[in-house]
This record gives sequence, structure tokens and C-alpha cells, in this order.
Amino acid sequence: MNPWPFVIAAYALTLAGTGGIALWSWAAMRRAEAEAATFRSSPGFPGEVAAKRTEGGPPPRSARPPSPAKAGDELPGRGR
Amino acid sequence: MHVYANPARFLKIARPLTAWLGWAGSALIALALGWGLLAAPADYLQGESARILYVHVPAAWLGMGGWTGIAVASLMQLVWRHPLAALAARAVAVPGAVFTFLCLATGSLWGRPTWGTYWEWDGRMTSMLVLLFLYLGFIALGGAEQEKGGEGRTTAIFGLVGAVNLPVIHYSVVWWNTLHQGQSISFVRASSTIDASMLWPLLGSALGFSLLFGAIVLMRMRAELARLKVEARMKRMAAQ
Repeated sequence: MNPWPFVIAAYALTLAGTGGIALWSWAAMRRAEAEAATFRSSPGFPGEVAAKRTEGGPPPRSARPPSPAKAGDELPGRGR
Repeated sequence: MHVYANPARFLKIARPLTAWLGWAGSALIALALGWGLLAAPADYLQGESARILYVHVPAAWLGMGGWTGIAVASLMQLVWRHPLAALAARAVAVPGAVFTFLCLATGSLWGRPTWGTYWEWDGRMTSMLVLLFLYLGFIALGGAEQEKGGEGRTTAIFGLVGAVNLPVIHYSVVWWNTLHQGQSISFVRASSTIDASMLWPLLGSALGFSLLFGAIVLMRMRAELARLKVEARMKRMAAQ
């Protein structure tokens, strides 16, 4: 029995499977991180909404946008 | 490990490490598989079909290594309540399942020209198939628990209990009469029955796939952290 078709099939399957999961994970990561970044700079962000409400004078201290976000600040169960 | 309990600190390290692991792993895989396929000698008994070794063995090690990672993360979640442990276990599950499937598929393709059959219900193959089912169960349970807003404790217990299968896989070739060959490499005794001309491309391939596996896990963890961040902010907005 010629073993080469089996060898080639095994390599092709492994490379397709590994490449597939790597690309899928990379695309999901890029999408999720882009969404998180867009969300932070969108006009719907709580600080900006509150600032718009107080037309005229400077926004009250409580309505100012929060300080530049540190990654992971909002996550539940943040380490001490 | 508790140093990385803070997601911000974890992300600071994970961002550059993801790219480094991904590129180094891919380069090493290309080099080792090229070496194994074109330069390494054929086996004196099995001939050219033994070249499947360079993809089959790393897939098997990563399938088992992935569940070891899940078990360790589950233990850290249950005992120390490490905030990233559940996330890490979930991130390992899908690539772990993929590599377990690849191990079964490439083993099957190796079995046909060598043993004359694609499948045999022997100890090693059956216990590896059980590992694939454990992965699928873990993924389904983790998804269901996350949907219900649970802490993932049931999934963590499942991850720990599932580790019972790992020694069964390892010793299956010792405990039972099996078609599968016995152990060729012992990390404990640092010895191998494989000739150096075949051992080096195998170790290179295993290291390359391991680095890429690490990059995939980090990518999945980063995606999950970003998703949780958006979710937490939306909740905060809704509360205001």
C-alpha cells in the first residue's frame, strides 16, 4: 500500500486544523478588542452623556469622563 | 500565579507575548515539519508512513497537556478563587479539543497503512476518544453555566474530575494488550528509543505546536477579557 496519500492527508489535516483555530482565535480577539476600544470612545459613554446634559457651564465633577481607562478596571473579581 | 490575577497586569504581558509565541511557533512548525517530511529518514519497519509521527505525537501531547492545564486552572479557581482561572480553562478547551481530534484523525490515517485498519477499540485509542468527549462536555457545560451567569464552579469540578482520564491514557499501553506501540520517549528518565535523526524534528515540531497553542490560548483569553469589559460597561451604563 502506498503510504504517501495517508502522510499527505495527515499533514494537510493538521495544518488546516491548526491554521483554522489560530485564524479564528485571532479574528475573534481583534473583533472583541476593537469593539471594546470603540465602545470606550463612543458618544454613548456614560461620562460624555452626562457632560452633554449640562449645557453651558462646565460639567459637574460627577459628570466628567472617567480618567483614561486602565485595561481590566471594569472586570469583576479584579486581583488585589 | 497570583501576580497575574490582575487582568491589567496580565494583558500587559499577554499582548507582546501573543505575537512572539505565534510567530516563533509558526516558524518552528514550518522548519520541523519540512525536516520531518523531506530530510528525516524513513522508519526501518514502517517506512514512509512513520512520518505521520511529526504531527500525530505533538497533537497527542497537546490534547493531554490541554486537559492538564484545565485541571490546574480549575484547581486554582476552586481553591484560590483566581479571577482569571475560569477564563483560562475555557480558553484552553477549544484548542485542546481540536488537537485531540487531530491526534485521533492522524492516528487513524497512520493506522490504515501500518495496521491495516483505521480504527480499533483498544485502550489508547478509546481513552483518547473519551478525552475528546470530555472536552466537548466541558465546552458545553462552560457555555451553559456562563449563559446562566454562574461562577463556573460546576465546570471547574468537571475539569478536575476529567483529569482522571489522563493517567488512563498514559498507562493504557502498559495495562492492556494494545495495537498501539509502547512509550518511546520518557521525560522522567530523559531517555528515548527513537534515533536522534527522527527525535530532533519531533521535538522541534512539538515545541512549535506548543508555542502556537500558547498563542491561541492567549488570543482567546484576550477576546474574552475584551468581551467582559464591554459587558461590564454596558451594565454600568444601564444602571446610570
